[in-house]
Amino acid sequence: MLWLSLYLPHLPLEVFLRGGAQPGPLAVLATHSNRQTILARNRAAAAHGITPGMPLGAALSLCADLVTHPREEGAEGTALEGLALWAEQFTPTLSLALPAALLLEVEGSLKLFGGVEALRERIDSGVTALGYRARLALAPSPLGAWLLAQAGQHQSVLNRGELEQALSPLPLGLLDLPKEKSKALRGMGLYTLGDCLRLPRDGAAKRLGPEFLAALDRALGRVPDPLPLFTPPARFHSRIALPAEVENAEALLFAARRLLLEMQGFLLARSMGVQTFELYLTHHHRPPSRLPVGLVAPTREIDHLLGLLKELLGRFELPAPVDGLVLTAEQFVPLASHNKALFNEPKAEQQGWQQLVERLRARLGEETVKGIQPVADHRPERAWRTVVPGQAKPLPGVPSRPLWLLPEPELLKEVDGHPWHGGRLVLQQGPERIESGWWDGPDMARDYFVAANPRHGRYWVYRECRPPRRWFLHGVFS
Amino acid sequence: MSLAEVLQRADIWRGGTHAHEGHVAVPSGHAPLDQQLPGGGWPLGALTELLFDHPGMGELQLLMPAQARLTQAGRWLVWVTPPYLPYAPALAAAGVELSRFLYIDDHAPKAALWAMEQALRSGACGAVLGWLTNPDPRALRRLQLAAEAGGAMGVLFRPPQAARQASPAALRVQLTPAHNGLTLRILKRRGGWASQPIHWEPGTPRHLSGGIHSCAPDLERCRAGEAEDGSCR
Repeated sequence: MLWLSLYLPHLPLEVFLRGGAQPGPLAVLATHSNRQTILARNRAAAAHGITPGMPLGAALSLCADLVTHPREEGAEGTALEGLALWAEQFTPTLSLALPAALLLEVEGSLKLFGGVEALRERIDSGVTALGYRARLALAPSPLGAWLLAQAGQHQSVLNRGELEQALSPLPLGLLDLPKEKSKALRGMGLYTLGDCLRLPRDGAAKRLGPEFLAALDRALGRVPDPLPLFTPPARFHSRIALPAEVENAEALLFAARRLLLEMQGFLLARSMGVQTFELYLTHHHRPPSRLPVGLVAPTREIDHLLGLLKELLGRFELPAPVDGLVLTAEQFVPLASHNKALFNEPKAEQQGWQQLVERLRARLGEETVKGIQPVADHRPERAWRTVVPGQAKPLPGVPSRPLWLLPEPELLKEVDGHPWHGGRLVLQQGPERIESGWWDGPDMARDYFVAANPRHGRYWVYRECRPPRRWFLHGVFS
Repeated sequence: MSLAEVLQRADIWRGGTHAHEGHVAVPSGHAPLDQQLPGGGWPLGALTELLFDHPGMGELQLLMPAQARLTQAGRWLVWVTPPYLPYAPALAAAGVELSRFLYIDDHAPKAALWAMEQALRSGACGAVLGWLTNPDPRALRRLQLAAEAGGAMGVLFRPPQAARQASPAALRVQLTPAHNGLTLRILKRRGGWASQPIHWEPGTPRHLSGGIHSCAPDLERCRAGEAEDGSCR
């Protein structure tokens, strides 16, 4: 077993910061009995001299533009779960270590991701792209890895034999001990884990208590440490808050990209792609705006999905300023892994048209980008229908027709008993009688002809079989 | 960048598939015309303008063999804001693979131009036909560049007056009605002067060769649902 601990020391702040590219001064507040103090602040706020622990009033006098949020532990938990969904692409065995860490069992993944260093780098850069700063540490026991990451020791301890040495210098304060106990330990001159480990074992059990000793054993990997494993939900749901309200739809893309990255990790873990998903824009004091996205083919490609959202958001008129985004997806479609598609050229071409169709539909609207297919019906108006591009199915043995069909037959005037359209129409072929339709619409009976006018246009015209026996133009042979 | 992406680039030419020297083209299906066109057909990776007066005189029929051939080869056919509804049975009869056909029904000029450029540039399309209203020289230039990038045959249908304006299109052909067909004049082509007029007649279209006959005797059978495809041949 090899555990990787991913500790997010700045999580209370990052849940508010990660939705914006360049947030201004921002601070998270801690509330102790009606008194608010600064719990954490970003760099822009620090530049004004704001420090943790400072009363809110003092901070505001240093920087009037300071944006403040009370700490939201619920949002931190949600963010950690979103991160867990993303991290599942690296291992199926992971555990949430609240309030601010994830534990990943990665021994089985080392080979796939090219070794410890490559995996660390990949996770580190991935977490950074999601908008977090993480401390990573590896150890053969979950508690050991957790302690190292908490202490800021960016170590990779791969053998149990080296673990004791690595943990020894860590301060006892990292273990969540009751106050009297820590005081007692300090009184005994014990400051680090190593100090405790050096005590004779039975004496230590008496002085430190059996629970403390058990925790040390778990940290050193001497006894098994079964953790409650993260059980992923069946659907993807993630939320991101914006540091300040946004009124320009395009400015939402930065945050949307981070949600898409989380979803991509979720999809990679399952070898799936999405074909439909929904983006919600949340507003203050208003129900959220919903933007459904439908794709021609399943995908998990970030740049493509982001391009679609860009078009959708570009067309969307915000009803109110936006304070957060929610991305949800419920239906997933199996998708081959990337390395299979790499040498498979037809697939790449297919992706080209899918992306084209989706881009067109995102910008122009689904109803304006159409495919067509013939339908088995001998009434010309019903012999075709529109379909989603790419889904037309051939129909054998269809009688042939002009290339253009008018949306509505157009009444032709008659001159000396002959139909007239830009000149006298000469009937070249026909009649073809087409009748019926009484069972699902207006009854009809028509004689169709191919006709030409002096300008060499060729037209598909018909005459009603029943009075008033008028002439109509129905199509154009190009 | 993956290999597949590299191969999709328009500036990567691969031996075997595009082994022609100079111009890549798709045969028009009309030998006298092909002889006059550089590369022996409608140019791929370039913009073509067809200039004519009256819609419906045969301009689309002229392009039909090339469109059919390109869709059968697995490339997409896109019509941008056609003036009428494209009629599925006729396109299918002309050999167009309808599963690779789409048309854009948004008549806002800016949207149409954008869509045509996207389609040309995508690399997925064989032919992109556009009925645009008064594209300006900058728009034409963009379309020509997009066609080059995507390797597609871009076609614009324009009025004959457009011949007076300069255009970056690689090929400009003027169509005038003639007995049973069209007279084609090549106004501009790559590596050549304007041509002698070429006479073009639609090869008896497949959809007319069988003649048109009455469906009436079959009607009762259709009504009874016996003719499964309902086509009453």
